[in-house]
Amino acid sequence: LPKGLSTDFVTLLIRLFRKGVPFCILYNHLSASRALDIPSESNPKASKKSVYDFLSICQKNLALSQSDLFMISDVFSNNISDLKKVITSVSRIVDLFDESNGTAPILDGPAPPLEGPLAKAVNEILQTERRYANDLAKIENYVSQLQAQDIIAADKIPYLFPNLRHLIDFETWLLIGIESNADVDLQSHCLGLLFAKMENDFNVYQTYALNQNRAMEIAQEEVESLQKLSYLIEPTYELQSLLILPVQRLCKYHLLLKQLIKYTPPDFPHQDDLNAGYEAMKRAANMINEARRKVENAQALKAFRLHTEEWNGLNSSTLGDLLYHGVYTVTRDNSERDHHIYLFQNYLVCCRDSDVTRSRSVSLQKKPKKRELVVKRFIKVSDIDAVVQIPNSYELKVYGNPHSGIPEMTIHFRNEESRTQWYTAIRQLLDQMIAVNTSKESTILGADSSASSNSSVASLHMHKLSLDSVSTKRQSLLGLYGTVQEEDESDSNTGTNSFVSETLEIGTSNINSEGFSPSAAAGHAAHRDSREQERQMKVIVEYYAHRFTIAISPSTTYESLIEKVVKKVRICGGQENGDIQSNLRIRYRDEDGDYILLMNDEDVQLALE
Amino acid sequence: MSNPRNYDILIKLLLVGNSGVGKSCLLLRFTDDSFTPSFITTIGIDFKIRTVPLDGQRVKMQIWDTAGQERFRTITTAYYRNAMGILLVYDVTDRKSFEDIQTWYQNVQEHAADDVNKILVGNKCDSDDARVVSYDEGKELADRLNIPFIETSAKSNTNVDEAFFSLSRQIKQRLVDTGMPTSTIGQSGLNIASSGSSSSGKCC
Repeated sequence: LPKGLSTDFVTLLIRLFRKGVPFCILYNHLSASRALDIPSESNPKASKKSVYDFLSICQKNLALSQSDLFMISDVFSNNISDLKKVITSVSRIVDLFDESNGTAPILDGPAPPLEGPLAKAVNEILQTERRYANDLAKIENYVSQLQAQDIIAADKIPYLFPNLRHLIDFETWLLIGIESNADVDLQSHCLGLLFAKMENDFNVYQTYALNQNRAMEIAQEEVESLQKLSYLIEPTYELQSLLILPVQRLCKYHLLLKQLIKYTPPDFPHQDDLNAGYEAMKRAANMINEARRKVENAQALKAFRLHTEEWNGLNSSTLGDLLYHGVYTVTRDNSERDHHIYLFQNYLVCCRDSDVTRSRSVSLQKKPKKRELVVKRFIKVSDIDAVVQIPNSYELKVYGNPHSGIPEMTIHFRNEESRTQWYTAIRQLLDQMIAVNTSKESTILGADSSASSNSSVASLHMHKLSLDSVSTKRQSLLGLYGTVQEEDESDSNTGTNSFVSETLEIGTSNINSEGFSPSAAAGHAAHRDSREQERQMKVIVEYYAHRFTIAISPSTTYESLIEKVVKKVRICGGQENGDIQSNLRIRYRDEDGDYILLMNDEDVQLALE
Repeated sequence: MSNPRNYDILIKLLLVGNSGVGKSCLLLRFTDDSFTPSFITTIGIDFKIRTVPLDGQRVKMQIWDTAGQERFRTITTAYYRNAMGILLVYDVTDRKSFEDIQTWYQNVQEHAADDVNKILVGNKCDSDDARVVSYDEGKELADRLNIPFIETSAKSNTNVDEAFFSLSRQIKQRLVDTGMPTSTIGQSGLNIASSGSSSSGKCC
């Protein structure tokens, strides 16, 4: 609450009612014969008595029925809708005394003065929130009419506007908070804090959002019956709009706050709160969005199981949760094709329609078309060596190990956002994989002693080797860094300087799970490959935004390192790098994070050590 | 406003495109005939309405603006759901916004009804100095997507009505073609999803 206000006006009103004083005064106006004593402070019994007396005299003298009035318990309830009943009755009775308006309804409060963009921004939050509250009230009325007139099956009504009561209750408190803040002067409002504090309460939208598709379907199915109530809400466009409304509102708070921040002077005392509120609203909407996505993914997984007619050896019970899916263009072996791509916890799966002439849309938003899927190929997440984002495109390149179903494939996304989502998800999976498999790996190594003594995934303990292209036009930056987690490095119990011996240790004894970064997953996958080879080091190379791994032997020369990097860049780095060999420079990042230029064999050896 | 008699057809339109391309300005220009470059608040509004006579019928357009909510992709797909027409808007002075039309188009394909009408709109065509996307490029893209194309300026009020009217005409024509008797549309309700797949069952 803003400074200077101990509490919001609604709480004050509740307290006032609970004291019983207003009811006594009203009673004394209504009753000519007998006057009630005004109850003293904090005497709940006397308060209740005065409410009771008030109600009975209303029934007697004003010929009001029970349904026109409220219950005693309503006065002492914390529920806003009960309070509304009290207010409605009281204001009605006050109106009877005096034709002039009694209690002004909450929703028609005066607008704050409009001066300057900041005031306008605050006002916009307030006015639109009021309108939203009004719309919810309209919906509430509509739903009660639906029930009263038995218009659609009773069991469908809760699905039309699920959770409405909670939504309205929450909304009312939010509006009260906004009203309280809009009342005070612009320099002391606490709108930011209000939203930040209420962040968790926005969860109330989850039930609503999760059910939204179902609600819209019901509204559509029942259009005919709902015509009867079209004097309240027109069943097609208006009802459909109202069904979207709560989610639409949820998605707008962060925008409203952003605008408020924009017009707030930098010396505003609650600037941090405002930012916190803005972030909180982004998170709140995001959380609901994610919750809904999860549910839709579960449905998509069901549909996937149902509609896949050829599995091609994929075992549907080992897929794990579905994380992302979509129809994307895939490039593989120089051919481009649209595929349904599914990213499960354990598998990346490419499918296509068994009937290729069918629509390529698989949106869940629409009624599912009858379609059968054929699994074309799939790769275990644990067989994925690396995943690379191709710059200046929305492409993601996935490298599997050579024995997997997908040695190499490029997925073309439609935008940066989905590419990033997939990339992050795959990276996280690889990350988890290494943690899970660490223990397994050490037992395998233990059983096969010859392998364990010869093989090693060398993790460069220094962090980055970078290549500098000294092209006159362009500075190429190529970083190589080891698979050991950078941040935790100082915490690891092995010394930071003796990296070569440590990497061997990692390879031959047990893989230290904390020691691995996301990229270590790739290292892990390569572990098995490199078992036959002698003492390979896995090095992560960064080139512009490209990132890939190469295997080098610890005794590698400068020439062969360059050669390997160039080869890799040619393969993975896209066309824009043309002739890179002549002007490549390699830098590595040492344990202090400094980039050190490599010029010859000695530098390389030094770097590796 | 709930009187169905004050219009013959109701159509629901949706504006999509990168932020800053002037979606809100187009909307305001069309519905309120105003252009306020410095301070516009369209954030709080849910949609805008304008009823216009079009070829002898009163067409009520309900226009939705999605600005700023693109990040909540899953829960905002509901906007697409009942849209009958979509304006794909880019800014002729911003090439990225033009390139991203492809993405927007695919979003529409994915989430909107199959027969939704579309129009490509190159906004800010008054800014000749800053223009980086030529008329021909816009036209070419529109032809490739097989949708109509128009250049507009909300600022100088060029072609704004035409953009909305052109899309509305298409929709009206489609409704007539698909056998929806327009005289009853106002009452029986007009729902793109139901006209597309009225007999299909519930979602799994």
